[in-house]
Amino acid sequence: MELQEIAALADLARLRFSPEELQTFADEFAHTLEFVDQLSALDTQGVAFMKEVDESAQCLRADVVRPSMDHDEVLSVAPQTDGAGFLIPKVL
Amino acid sequence: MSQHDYELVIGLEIHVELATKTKIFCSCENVFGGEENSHCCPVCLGLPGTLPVLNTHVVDYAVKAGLALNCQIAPVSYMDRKNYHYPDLPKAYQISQRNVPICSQGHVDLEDEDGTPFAIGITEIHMEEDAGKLVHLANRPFSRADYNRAAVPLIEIVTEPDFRSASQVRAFLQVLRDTLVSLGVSDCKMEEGSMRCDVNISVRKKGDAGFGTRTETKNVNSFRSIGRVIDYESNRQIKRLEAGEPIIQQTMHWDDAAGKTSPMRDKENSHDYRYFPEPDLPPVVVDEARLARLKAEMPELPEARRKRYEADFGMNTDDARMIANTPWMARLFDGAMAAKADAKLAVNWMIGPLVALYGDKAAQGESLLFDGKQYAEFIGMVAASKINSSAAKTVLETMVVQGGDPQAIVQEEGLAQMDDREALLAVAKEVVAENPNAVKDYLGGKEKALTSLQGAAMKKTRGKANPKLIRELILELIQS
Amino acid sequence: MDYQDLTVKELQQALQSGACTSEEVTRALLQAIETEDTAIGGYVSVQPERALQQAQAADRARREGQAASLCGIPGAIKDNLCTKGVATTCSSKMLEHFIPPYNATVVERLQAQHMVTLGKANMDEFAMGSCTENSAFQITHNPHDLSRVPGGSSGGSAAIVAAGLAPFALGSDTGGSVRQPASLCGVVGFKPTYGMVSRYGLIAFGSSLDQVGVLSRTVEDCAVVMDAIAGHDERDATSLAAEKPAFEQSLTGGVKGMKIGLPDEYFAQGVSEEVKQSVLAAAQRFEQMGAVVEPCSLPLTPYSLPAYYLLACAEASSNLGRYDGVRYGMRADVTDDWEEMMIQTRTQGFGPEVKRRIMLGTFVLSAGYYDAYYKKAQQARTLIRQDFQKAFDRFDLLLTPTSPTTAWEIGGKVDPLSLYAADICTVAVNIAGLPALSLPCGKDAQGLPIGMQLMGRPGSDAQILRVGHAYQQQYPGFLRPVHQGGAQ
Repeated sequence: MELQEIAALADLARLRFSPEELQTFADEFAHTLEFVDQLSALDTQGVAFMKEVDESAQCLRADVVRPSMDHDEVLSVAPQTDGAGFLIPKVL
Repeated sequence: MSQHDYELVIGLEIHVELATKTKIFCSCENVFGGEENSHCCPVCLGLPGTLPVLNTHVVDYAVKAGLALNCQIAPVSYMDRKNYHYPDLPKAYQISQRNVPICSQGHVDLEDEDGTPFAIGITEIHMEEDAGKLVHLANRPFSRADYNRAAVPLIEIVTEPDFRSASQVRAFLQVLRDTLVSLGVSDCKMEEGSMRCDVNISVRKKGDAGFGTRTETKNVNSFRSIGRVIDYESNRQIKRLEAGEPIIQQTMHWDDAAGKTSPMRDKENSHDYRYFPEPDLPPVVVDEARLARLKAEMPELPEARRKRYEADFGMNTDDARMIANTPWMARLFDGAMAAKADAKLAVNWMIGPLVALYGDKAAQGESLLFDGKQYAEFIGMVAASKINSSAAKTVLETMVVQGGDPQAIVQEEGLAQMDDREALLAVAKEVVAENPNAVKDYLGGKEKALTSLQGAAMKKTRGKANPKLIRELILELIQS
Repeated sequence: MDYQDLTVKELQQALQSGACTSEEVTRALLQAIETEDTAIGGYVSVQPERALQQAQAADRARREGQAASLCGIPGAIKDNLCTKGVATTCSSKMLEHFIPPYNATVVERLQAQHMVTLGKANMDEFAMGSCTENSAFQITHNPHDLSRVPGGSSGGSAAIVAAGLAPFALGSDTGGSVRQPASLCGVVGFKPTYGMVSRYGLIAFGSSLDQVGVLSRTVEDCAVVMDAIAGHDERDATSLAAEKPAFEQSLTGGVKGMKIGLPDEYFAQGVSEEVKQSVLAAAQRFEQMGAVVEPCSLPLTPYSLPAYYLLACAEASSNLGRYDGVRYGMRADVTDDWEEMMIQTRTQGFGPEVKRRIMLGTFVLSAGYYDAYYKKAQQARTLIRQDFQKAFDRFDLLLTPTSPTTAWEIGGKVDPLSLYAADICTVAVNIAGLPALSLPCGKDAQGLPIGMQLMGRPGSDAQILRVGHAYQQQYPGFLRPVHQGGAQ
């Protein structure tokens, strides 16, 4: 895999690597892909890949309002706040 | 070549916020506005470890929208994750439907302004969650994230590129909005953002079979803007083609103030969303029982109702559309028809006096205090001339303000028409005796004087006199 | 009485009989943690005051005659399970100061019974690892040999239980993270059927594979804890709707007539000879107890590890997108550019193994590779499930080693692929959503514990515990904790 491709993946994942780290990653990636490529030997023609329906699963929620979190509690986890919302460097 | 040598090809992606009580994946109230971050919980904030659970009404509403737009309803559909990073997106993915949407392959049959029929294909309808909002603080180096809107339920309706003009788009959106409102699925308020359109536009030479390169203009938020976007963007594309320049497939931003589209930043044009099935949610099952229940719950849709009114009651299109599209009017009218009221009178009294008396109250959510049967009784009294038109207005006003049975109102207020010949003859005699000048005028050839005598008689009887009879009696007295 | 030695069941009886109070037990264990955990590093944080308050409340409840099963019993919670008001870090710098304003469902259920939380157990960062060396804060040592790893990712939970620093602990198991450390530390580790226990409040790694599990010294204790935490949760759409089994009540009945399969592929190359022999010896014991034991085959076993890594990493790359410095957790010191703030937060906040897996996951989901990797792995998953279904047509249970080797030296495995191979016996269970139990079955020449794994069909959780319990009744051993020298 090209270094450029690894860098593009890092961009997608919002991560940054030094050139040396990228090189290490590229080497490891090559190994890992070799390892996972074992799967290509498996014949999966026509095999389903979506989750099966579980008839017993009660998975829908009634449309009933419950109290939201206290406003202060919402902001208690915020890295930066002005008391109204979550502050971040300006988005232009 | 000129603009007239080109044909427009337009497709829409319409996001509609659903009018459920709670958000799509948590029990926070689904309301517009409110104090920032006041309708939030660990789930819609995407806090670590929290999980989504799908709101049953979101499924119901999506299916109802699908049925109204003649879609196939998938017995099993799947939620997917659309991954991208943006500060308004709490989990860094939007839960949506990509591979198997809940509704697909629908169509809407419409008429152009000149009555020409056209059809719009519905590619799919899928369920998804909305994102939060960013507030950009003036004079400070910050933006502020507000997650009240995060996880508000949406359906996205995707049409085929079947529109050929802005007027077709408008006609479609009008019908779509009327339909979704009457289903109770959404309030479709574009100004509050509960209905938003992305418009895909391309142009091609008339007669060409293939499509031109398209652009997508995001988040157009008023009917007026959509027309302007289509005009601007299609002209821009035609000019480029005429100048021999290629159209670039890209996402555009609409600047309403400037009346212009402009390309969004490159980054937003090169997303790799890495869709994959949402592991936290099981497949969405719409079984036979649910489908049957939802079909049974489907109301008559405005378009069908309008056609029925035109066909069955000979209404003109404008009247029929107005009543068909206004739920309280349609309900009242249908109720009155069931009670065998005269259709023409029922329409005229509704669109005229009743709208004047109650229209504003309806808009503010006040309920109507009488039903179709009582309205039919009212119309029946008018038709049988048991009350004259001025008394009728009083009765209708009382029905709107206090509610109740029109017969009782007429009794209590003593508004029943005086038809008694003897009593009216006495009144006529008085009037003739008290207005010698008017009598003289009439005899001198002034026809109008008779009307003023009649008016005097009506006044004496507080409007109750049978107007036709009193006029006859006055005339007899004068001429004898 | 040395409270460190007591099992949950023994503590229950002692508390019930009035032989001791929860406060006494809790004080004793907090004291033991203070002196012994410095060598082990099992706890990433301890909340003594809170624990004592909970113990006092438990004693009050007991006096008022409202003692639930786990009333006053202390335990440890893996640090990827949210605890309201107590830092929940996932052993990551990213969440070092994150204090959840909500409890995980399992924590809520334990607290409803007045269980006492001593502290939060160390783990591999975001549960990614098999050694607990990937914690951003500390390495956990194996109580049987402090120079060795305890396994992972629930290495803290396993070491704590093995050292008698809590009678039980909660862990989580995405590819073996409860069973493998249990095996390496000589304790019992149970991974329930997918959906048997709510995942609400379990910080996600691979959502379709994650399951909360229990680590304890006896299978019986495991059943007691399962009774408290299992069952449908309306906040987790993947939690099973079916009525939960009565685990403790189902423990009786033994193994007579039960059919146990020994899948060849789990005794193949890569599995150490000592481990093989130990598990085969246990198989013989099951036969002596009246079970029918026969060899069988799960031919798709070699595909489970690559399929697991593709699926787990794909889901992880998405699950870990939310750590962006906007709403909670760490934020890098970047004030002029929101995108740079996000990138720096993630780059500084995640450790190397987490980044490695996010990168792999991003790759397998990216345009052009989805079909070859993600879709292929999902199809492999379908086939692996069918492989197990066929085996369970013939057998009630399958018996395998839990880990191909016993505990290795800290720092001894550095190559990611050789670390991934440590999960070779455990990942298929997660891929197929099965319940599986690891319990001690012997020791190697160096005295390090060996674990065996019992797998069952989905929903057979109670049956697996019954069989494990029968074994432990017949062959007690390795049950008492390993105390740390110096503290005694």
